[in-house]
Amino acid sequence: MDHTELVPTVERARNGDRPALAELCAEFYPRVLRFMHYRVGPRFAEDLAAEVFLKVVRAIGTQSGSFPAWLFRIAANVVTDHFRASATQREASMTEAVLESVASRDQPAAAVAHKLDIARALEQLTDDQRELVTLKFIEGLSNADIGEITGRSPEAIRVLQFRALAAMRQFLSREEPSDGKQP
Amino acid sequence: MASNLEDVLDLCLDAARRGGDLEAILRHHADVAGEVRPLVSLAGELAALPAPQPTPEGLAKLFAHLAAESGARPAPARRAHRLRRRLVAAAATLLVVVGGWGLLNAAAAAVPGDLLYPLKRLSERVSYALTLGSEGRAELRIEFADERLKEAVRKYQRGGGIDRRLLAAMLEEAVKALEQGSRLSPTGRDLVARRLACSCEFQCSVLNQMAAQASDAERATLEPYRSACHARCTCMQEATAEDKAQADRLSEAAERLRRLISELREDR
Repeated sequence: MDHTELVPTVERARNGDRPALAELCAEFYPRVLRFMHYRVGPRFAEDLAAEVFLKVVRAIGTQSGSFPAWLFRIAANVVTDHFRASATQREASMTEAVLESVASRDQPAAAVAHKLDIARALEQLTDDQRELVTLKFIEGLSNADIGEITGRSPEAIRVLQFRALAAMRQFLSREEPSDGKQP
Repeated sequence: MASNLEDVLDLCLDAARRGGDLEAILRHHADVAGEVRPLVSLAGELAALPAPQPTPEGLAKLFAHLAAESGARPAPARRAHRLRRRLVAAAATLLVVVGGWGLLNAAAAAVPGDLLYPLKRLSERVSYALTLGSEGRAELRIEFADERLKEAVRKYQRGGGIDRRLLAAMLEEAVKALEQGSRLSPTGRDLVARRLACSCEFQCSVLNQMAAQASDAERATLEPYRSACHARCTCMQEATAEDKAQADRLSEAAERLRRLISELREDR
């Protein structure tokens, strides 16, 4: 669904058109599921994604501004509530998430190993950094949308994304097998 | 003046996202290019991380939430009557279902305009994504083609008229099945071709029955799809004939069908 289709569909859903609302849910469910997958791991991803859409259905009449920003703000809040409710689940395994996703696909071992390294690097980030990386690089949201979701200024987003990527890069360089070359 | 790393990285990420000239930016900020380049590359690798596949259980939970909530929320007054009818239908649906899979089954009978229809299409997309291999995917495409026809019939029986989009979708699914079929081994191709030939016959017969009940105006709307379906039957009979060049014939059939569909689009 491109922007020209999204705007009228959101408008109809806001006005109580249930098929339009269901269309939005169907369209965005895979994206919210992916977001959850990388934020909390596969074990809770589907439950939390379903919870997001329950909130969407309840609050669609009050929606305003960018729909993706609004939707992912709800998703981010659901994640925060989830972590708050069960502190022990905070260490959700990104490695587990990637392993589960690639398990049934026919991929070369080296490619899988590299994806696992990236997932492990993602695990090393602070929660704020991981949220930003998921929203920006995995979900492909703009800085403006991320600003709406997280309440951060454009400057703060630029700094946070640099620190997150630099931290991941540093982790990956340490993990690379030693072959006498500089990382 | 020294470049600001954070700003240059953001510029580069933006350029990479929009398909802009990343190298030009890095040349302009050569003092930080060495540091920024691997970070941009890492961002690209993050975007390529695998996406999870929705499971039937997860979808069932989602469907349950949506259907349950649909009955709970008041509707705006101006659409109240229409929505009430839909909600009554949704509630009736809920009465006959037990648990998540029941909801999936309930969605299976939906037609365009029904509350559960987009969810039915989502579950089709999920099934397709979860099906590996051209043979399985061709088989699914054939099922989707038959399903579009059944929806057109249900909609017509409910007094919704002839839905040309559904009939066009039926033909398009058949093209996709042919395309998948042409990638298979001779045995697989033969199976797909025979399955498609049966599907064509079924579709022709249903469209003939619809035409027999239809008004003159409806019959006129139906006619191009009926003709396309008959033409496809002929194509499939040729394609299933014993022939070493069956792959070519399947491709040829797909091409002929594609032309028929584009003519129909122009007519619309």
